[in-house]
Amino acid sequence: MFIHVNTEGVVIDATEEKLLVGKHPATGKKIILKRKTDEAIGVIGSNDTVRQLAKAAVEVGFYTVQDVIPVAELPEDYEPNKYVYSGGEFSLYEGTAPKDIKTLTEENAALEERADGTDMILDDLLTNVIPSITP
Amino acid sequence: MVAFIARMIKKQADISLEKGQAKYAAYFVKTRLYEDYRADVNAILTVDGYEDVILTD
Repeated sequence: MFIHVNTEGVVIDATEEKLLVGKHPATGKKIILKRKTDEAIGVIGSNDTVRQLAKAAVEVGFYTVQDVIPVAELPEDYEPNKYVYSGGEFSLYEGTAPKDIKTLTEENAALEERADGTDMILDDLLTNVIPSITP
Repeated sequence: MVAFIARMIKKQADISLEKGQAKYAAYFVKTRLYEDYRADVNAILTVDGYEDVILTD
């Protein structure tokens, strides 16, 4: 079992397979990667040395992660963002769960869609409604 | 306001020149309400490479 922790040590995901930390080639954000081939990846840590290796990996997630840590088992009531992993032990996370990049991207797309709708309404007001009622 | 109008015109111009010109006309030819913004909008359109949508009266 492998846990994915963010910079605060919050456990944001857990996987059976060993996924790896890489850097998104465009954003530079740390992302979860899966080995393409063992030969292509080699040993990957959680620091900038993975940059050149990320190109050869398969991107499987957009959320940011600081490290992927092997653990023997998860807490029975494990949920993403519920625990902090530090010093080899899990403890309840008291803070606000961080949003992952995928969620933020989806929220941003929804906001842009709403903004487009607002633009259309204002555009219609300025070019049709107001001129028609203005002497 | 200037940025908004320019954005609306450019958005239509990205679809077609005719749509861009139609939007330009909607703001500056069919009405004089936004005449005060016209010079600045023209400047933005020119700088951004959309000068073809600018219409004269």
